[in-house]
Amino acid sequence: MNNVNDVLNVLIIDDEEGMCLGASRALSSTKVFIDDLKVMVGFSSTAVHSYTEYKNSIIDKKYDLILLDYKLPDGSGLDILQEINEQSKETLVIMMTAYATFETAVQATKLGAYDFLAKPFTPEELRNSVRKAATRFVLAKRAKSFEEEKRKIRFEFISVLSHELKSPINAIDGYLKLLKEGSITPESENYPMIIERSLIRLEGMRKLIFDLLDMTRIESGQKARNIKPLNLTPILNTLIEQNKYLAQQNNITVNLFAKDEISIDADQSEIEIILNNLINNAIKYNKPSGTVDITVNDKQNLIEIQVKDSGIGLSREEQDKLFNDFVRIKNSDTIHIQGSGLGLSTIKKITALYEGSINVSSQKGIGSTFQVTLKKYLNDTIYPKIVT
Amino acid sequence: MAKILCIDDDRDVLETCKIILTTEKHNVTMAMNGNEGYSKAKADAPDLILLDVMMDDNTEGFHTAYKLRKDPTLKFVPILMLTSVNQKLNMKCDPKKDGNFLPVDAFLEKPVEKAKLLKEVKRLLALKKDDINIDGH
Repeated sequence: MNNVNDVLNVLIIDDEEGMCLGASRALSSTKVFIDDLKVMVGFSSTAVHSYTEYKNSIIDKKYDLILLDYKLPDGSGLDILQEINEQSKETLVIMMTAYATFETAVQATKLGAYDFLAKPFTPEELRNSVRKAATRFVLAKRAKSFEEEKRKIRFEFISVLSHELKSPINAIDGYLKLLKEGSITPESENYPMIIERSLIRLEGMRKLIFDLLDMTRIESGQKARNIKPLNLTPILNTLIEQNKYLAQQNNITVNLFAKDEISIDADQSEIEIILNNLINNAIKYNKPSGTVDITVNDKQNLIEIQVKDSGIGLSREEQDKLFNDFVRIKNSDTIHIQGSGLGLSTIKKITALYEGSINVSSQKGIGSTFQVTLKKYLNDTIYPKIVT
Repeated sequence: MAKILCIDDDRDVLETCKIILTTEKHNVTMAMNGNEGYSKAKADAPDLILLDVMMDDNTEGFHTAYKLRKDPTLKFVPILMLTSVNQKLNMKCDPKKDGNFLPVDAFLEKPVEKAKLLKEVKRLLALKKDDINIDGH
């Protein structure tokens, strides 16, 4: 573990040359291992001896850590401390002083000093203080970049979501305007189509809102999960029954190959979201008079659910992006199919809670098989991570 | 009467454009993504192309526009770009300005309105070859 992953820039501000040399030497041999992040941090130090030199040194360089003397020939360390805290919230300052009084310590802390070292101090005392400061600095920096990443993901998500919500509004708006200006009348050939399409778009929007709620609920971890022993087979039968109307419309046969009793410890609503999305997709993206075969393999620690359709299939590129939020495969084969683009991404998020996975194998024009694997019994419940 | 190709991933935007354009007896073909649109353009040699911006990704329409302009047989087909960028980013698309980097001839805001669409279509169909914005200038 001698490899250094990150080097912090340290500025030593002290008018005593001996102090600067000593501190530099102590730091050059110091490394800090930050356990939480598994990173090793080293130090690179620069020394200046007065307020003026300090001002010149910060023109083109930013320092992560500053060791600051209380008394300088041309100014007070406290002035520098104040300036640093006005400019950069990230830089941490360790005050060093020979006039260690309780009052100066309080004053320095109030001005934002991270730590306080009373001169004379041993190299070990210096290292300890620097170790603490470095850990704090690196963790704060990581937290900040994580926050930024989260903000970026949230912005992207909301901008796509707004597009998804705006599209049906635009569609219905367009049709209503045609009706309003008389381009379409109840006698027109297209009249039933635009009424039907408007209703379908409204239904799609409703579905999007429900899917969004499902997803948010899973990601936020707000709702307590109710993990209990379940039998998958009757749940599957109920869901097949619920999708029967949709299947009959296109003359699609749904077959279930499963034992009467398949037990798993799970939250019923999560399992229903997974299975319903898979069954519903297999019917929607099928061909007329096609089949859907649902096979459940009960293995020692795992449940394997395969949903095979004889539908339109997916190209390699389509398969690669399929499990991301709001991805819908749009081409002339899918022109009539409604979907929010959240179903598969939600399944992926749920399977992760069961230490499982979702995969697809597919051939364009022949059909797709989705396979979900779930761990039957979890030792520790994994709580969902907030992604957006 | 002209041959018009509409490229949009939203079926209802396509249907609306078709209903509007058919009132002027235009012959309308439809495509749901950039690649499908490009193939249909190659096959049908349309007189005008209506092109959506945000399809599979946020900029698919832009890429399709560049691809169409690179094709010697399709280079001079006027392109009317349909956007809802304005609503989304509170940003105005201005063909005079944005045409500097985008090789399209006009922009039209969604939702599509009949009078505006027909007016633009009429104007673009009358454009001479020299006036087509083929390279973004």
